Amino acid sequence: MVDVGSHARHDRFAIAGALGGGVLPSTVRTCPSCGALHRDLLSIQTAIRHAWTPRRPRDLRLSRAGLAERRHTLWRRLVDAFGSSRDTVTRPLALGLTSLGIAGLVLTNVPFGAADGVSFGGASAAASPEIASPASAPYLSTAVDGKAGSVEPATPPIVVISIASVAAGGTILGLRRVAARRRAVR
Amino acid sequence: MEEDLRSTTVPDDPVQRRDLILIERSREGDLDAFNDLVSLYQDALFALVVRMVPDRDQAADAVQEAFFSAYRNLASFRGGSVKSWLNRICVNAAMDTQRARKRRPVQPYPELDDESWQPRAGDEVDPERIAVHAERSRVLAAAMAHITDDQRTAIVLYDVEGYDYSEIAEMTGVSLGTVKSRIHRGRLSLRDILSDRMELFRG
Repeated sequence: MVDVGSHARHDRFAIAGALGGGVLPSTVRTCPSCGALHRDLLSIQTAIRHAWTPRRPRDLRLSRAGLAERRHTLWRRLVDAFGSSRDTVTRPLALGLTSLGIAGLVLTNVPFGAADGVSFGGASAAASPEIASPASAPYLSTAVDGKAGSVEPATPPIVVISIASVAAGGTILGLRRVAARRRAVR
Repeated sequence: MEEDLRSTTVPDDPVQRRDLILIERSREGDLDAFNDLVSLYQDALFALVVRMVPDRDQAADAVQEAFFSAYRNLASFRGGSVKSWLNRICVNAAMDTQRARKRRPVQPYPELDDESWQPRAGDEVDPERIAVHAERSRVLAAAMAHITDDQRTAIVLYDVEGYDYSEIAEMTGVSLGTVKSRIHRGRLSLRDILSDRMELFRG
């Protein structure tokens, strides 16, 4: 007995898969809706194979002028390599570098853009009034005036690496954008 | 040192032999020889790309870009079928165009009228059947433009070009399972889109 109401629970995906050599689900024979779906998918597949295409709008032969225009400079080769369909590396690489860099900066608690007030190992200088003054926390002050008593802080390597990582990731993402724009206008 | 293709591979197929001779002359800087290849394959490659990129002008640009790329990279051709080599370059160019289109969406087939559709050689001559076939092709193309680029690419490569799942996975840089999923979901989406017009495709 055919339970037509149960069609909603039948596996449409498996029926579509059968067109590519998968096992034909039994519901194609027992459920009229699944049978109709299978027949429709076959009809569409046949139509795709035999469909006409629009006419080619112009002759695509190459000219010497066109070749000269597209002469490959090193810069162009580099930009073309970024973000093309063959490029499966740069996007995850850029996102990974940026994420690692941001994570590093967050872990070391360095606020973005804190170029002149460096803090490490605790809350940021701006957020901590008791250490906001170089006088009260001489170990945080930078040697702007070069006077005796002020200490030149050494930026921890993790901060440098994090900033470099963010910068590298950002640069790669920027290059991908430039390459995509170039392709879009070409 | 440039490899002499004729000396290493002498295919029995006269088409392949002709193509290899043209490639070899192109490698020596003969642009006319390369343009002979363009003339031979531009229709087939345009038909492939225009199915993936539903805009005639952008598809033509992509194919021409692929030919420029092929000419610049003649040294990377390692023998075998020239058509397959050009096919792969065109598929890459089409995928690049699809990405660019995502940033600048355009209307699919904005200006196409009846004369813009190209029957295949040897197709029917009966005017009524021609009209039905043209209508079917137009409706199908519009539906294809509404599924995702990834689904469309996978379906075209599988159904029209005859690549198998693993070849498509390699060409598009995704897993076998992803290719199958794209094809199956694409087919179901097409059926949903075309549900009101299915009488055009039956029989």
